[in-house]
Amino acid sequence: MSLFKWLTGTVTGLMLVSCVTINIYFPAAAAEKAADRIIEDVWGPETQPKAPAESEQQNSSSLTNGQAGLALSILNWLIPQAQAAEVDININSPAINALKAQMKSRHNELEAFYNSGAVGLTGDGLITVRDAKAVALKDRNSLNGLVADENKDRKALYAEIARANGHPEWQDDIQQTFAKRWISNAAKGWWYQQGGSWKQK
Amino acid sequence: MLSVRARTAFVCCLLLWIAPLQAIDSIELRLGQWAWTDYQGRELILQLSLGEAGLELKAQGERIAFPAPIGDVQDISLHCADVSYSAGSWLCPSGTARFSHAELGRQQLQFTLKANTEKEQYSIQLEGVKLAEGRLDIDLNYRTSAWRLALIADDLSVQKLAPWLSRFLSAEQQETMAAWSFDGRLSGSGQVDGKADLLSKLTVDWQLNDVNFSNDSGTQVAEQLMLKGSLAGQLQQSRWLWHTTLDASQGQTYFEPVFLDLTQFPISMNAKGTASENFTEIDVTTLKLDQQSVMSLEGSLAFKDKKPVSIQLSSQPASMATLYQQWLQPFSLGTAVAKLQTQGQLAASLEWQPSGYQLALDVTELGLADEEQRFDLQGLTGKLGWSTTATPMQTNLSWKDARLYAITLGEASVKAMSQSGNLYLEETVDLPVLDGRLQLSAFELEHQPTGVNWSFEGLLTPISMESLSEALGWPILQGKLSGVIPKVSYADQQLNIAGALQVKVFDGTTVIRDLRMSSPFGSLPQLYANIDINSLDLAMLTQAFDFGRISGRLEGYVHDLRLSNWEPVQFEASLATPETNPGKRRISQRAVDNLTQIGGGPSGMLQRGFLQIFEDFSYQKLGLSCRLRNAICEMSGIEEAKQGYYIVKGGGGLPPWINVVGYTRRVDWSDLIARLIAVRDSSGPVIE
Repeated sequence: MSLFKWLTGTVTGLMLVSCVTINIYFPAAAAEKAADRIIEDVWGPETQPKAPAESEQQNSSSLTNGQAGLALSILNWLIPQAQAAEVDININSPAINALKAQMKSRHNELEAFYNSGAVGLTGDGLITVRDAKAVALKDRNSLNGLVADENKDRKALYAEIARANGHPEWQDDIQQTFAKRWISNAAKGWWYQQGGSWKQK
Repeated sequence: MLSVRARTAFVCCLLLWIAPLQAIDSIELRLGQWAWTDYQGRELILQLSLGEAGLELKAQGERIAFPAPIGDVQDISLHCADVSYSAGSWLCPSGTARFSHAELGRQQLQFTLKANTEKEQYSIQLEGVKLAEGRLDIDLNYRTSAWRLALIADDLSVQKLAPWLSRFLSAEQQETMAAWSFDGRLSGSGQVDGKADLLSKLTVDWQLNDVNFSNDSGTQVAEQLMLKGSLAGQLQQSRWLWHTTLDASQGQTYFEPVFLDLTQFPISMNAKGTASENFTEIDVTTLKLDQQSVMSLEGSLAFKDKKPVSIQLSSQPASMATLYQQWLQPFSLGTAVAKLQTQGQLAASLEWQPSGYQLALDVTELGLADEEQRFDLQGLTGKLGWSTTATPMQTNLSWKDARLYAITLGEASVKAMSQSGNLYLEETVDLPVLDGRLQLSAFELEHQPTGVNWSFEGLLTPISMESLSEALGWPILQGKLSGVIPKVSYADQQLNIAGALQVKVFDGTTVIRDLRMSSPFGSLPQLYANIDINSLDLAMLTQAFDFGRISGRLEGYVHDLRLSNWEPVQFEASLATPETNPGKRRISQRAVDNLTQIGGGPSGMLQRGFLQIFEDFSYQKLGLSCRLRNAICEMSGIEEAKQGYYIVKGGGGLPPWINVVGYTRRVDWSDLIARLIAVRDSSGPVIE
């Protein structure tokens, strides 16, 4: 009798466990990250790395007003007339992070040149040597190298964002958008090109 | 013998004779206003007097108007202590002149003058002319239309000289001068011979100190240069023979983009040649250009109408390191060769005509190592020829070591021929790649305005996956990689690989096709591919990645794969148990534990107690698909479940069976990878 009970119990037990189900919860994609982080990450003036989006809304710097307006203006501008596609400049991939890190470390060397007016922001999202005379002769070569590398990285950045959106042809538009953002985020005293002439912030 | 009375009488007569002369001791001429040929004057007072030394001339004038370019001279005072006249020549061996001039300022100089108006022979020496903060001595000899002018200049300021020079330049040249800022101090001596208004001989030795110049935009600048040079020319049978030297031994210059430190690497130049009378044709028969410790050039050039018509240059073997740093690197900014560590020797020779050129480079043990570790080439020796004309140039190169990213390439040699701007291989190149070989044939290279385009056909003999995975830092895989590559072509920053690569790994066949690379040396290299996977043995795969043990087969694809900076950022992948020959399908306890760990740990673990007693579970089918976009993986499984999707469906074989159901549709890719790595690195699950 006890043997039969044991057998039934075991078989029942076995049958209960004959089909096991495991539930898997992969890590979910985070909510919208703050836009326009790229410029702030690269130039991040004296401020610390940014807190999540909510706290940034409370920050009363001119940047946040720009950001909200930016998102709208991008949507308005980048949506082609024929189709309403979803534009996301909110790219966070290892490739972009690698670029940002490179641009950030290069910015440490470039900052002095922005301040002295030797280097200025162009109207199309790149940088250029504005006043060669402000630089000692022996340093001009390395400055030209810095400018060339920075422009290479910037173009790669715009291309990557366009590609990640699935529309490589949007690169030029993204470049134009960033052009405005770079200038808008520029520090006081820096030079930028507008309408073919140099202006100082 | 004269008597005393006679001598006294003689002396008295002498005195009587002299006395009347001394009575007329000076003649004075006053001219109010006068004109003579091209000269005009006002208030001129000439005083001729007989002094002890001889005839003394003093002249004073308020104003004399000389013809252009001299102009007005004012407040003149001339003094000649000993004027004499003999054989038709007036001579004043030591005179002093003082005058004021609008541009020259107040002058006081010594002069010597000899003039013979009949024979038209004049000789004048002026010493101590104050010009441009310095001193100028002039020696002019004129003999019936043949003249010689000798100048000695001492410390003239070039900046102050400029207004004078501009008189002799055209409007266009004056404009160019105005855009530049410059100064320096000029010293030297020169001699010019001529007849009427034609030069026939010229000899100049000059030195410029503290030279600074800069153009408007600052792209051509010099600081504190010291230049020394000479120029000699002679007109012979309506052809000039000339010889010039130039030494720059101090200071720094910047001619965008090249920066030269002349104190460290002085430059000296020596050239000889001929020229047509009006300088429209210039022939440099010998040119020697030497930059100490950097390079040494020799050659000849010819110019017509200021444009070169032929150039022949050859250089001595130069150290590649200094040559690259001084001359090559500044021109390579933004390209793949902008950051190199170089070594070895390079010698070059060039033959150029307007129709094209032939360039030959001779290299000895040349090493090129990219500072960003992207490529490396060592021990390059041989000759590289390049021709844009119909004349063929040979290339015969070999190297000892090469590396492209993490892939080691080995010793190889190249034999090629260049003609009309193209390069053709004459022999198949046998390139060792890791432990296999790549045979390159039908290599073609051409130089286009957009850049260099090249293509080749390749055959890849099997490379072991061990060496590849070791080189790329992956866990060691077993298998082989080989492929027939009908064509690899590079144009406009895009590398295209036609054909397919076959990877035999994990007892399955993986085919990689449509391989394409964008901006391989840019900031973000992009790699595109389509991968098809067949009959992968999951047991071998999970063993290699130390994931536990899942047995069975796997097939699927990774399509539209894009790697940005060698990391996957985009793909559409789907892997599942094949319909045919799926093999024995079991999952080990450890694999299940690892899966649950990836799936968020405790939340995925049900019936923990029961699970422990089983070593492995059976499954019917497993599969996972992921669409990666913008760091988000849209996941799904083999079939839909009530709320989620089945990743593993139990069944087949003996119980116990296992189901794995996934619930997250939009998965954070970087988080997922991090968890996979964490699971792999952990020694095993912790069983509480």
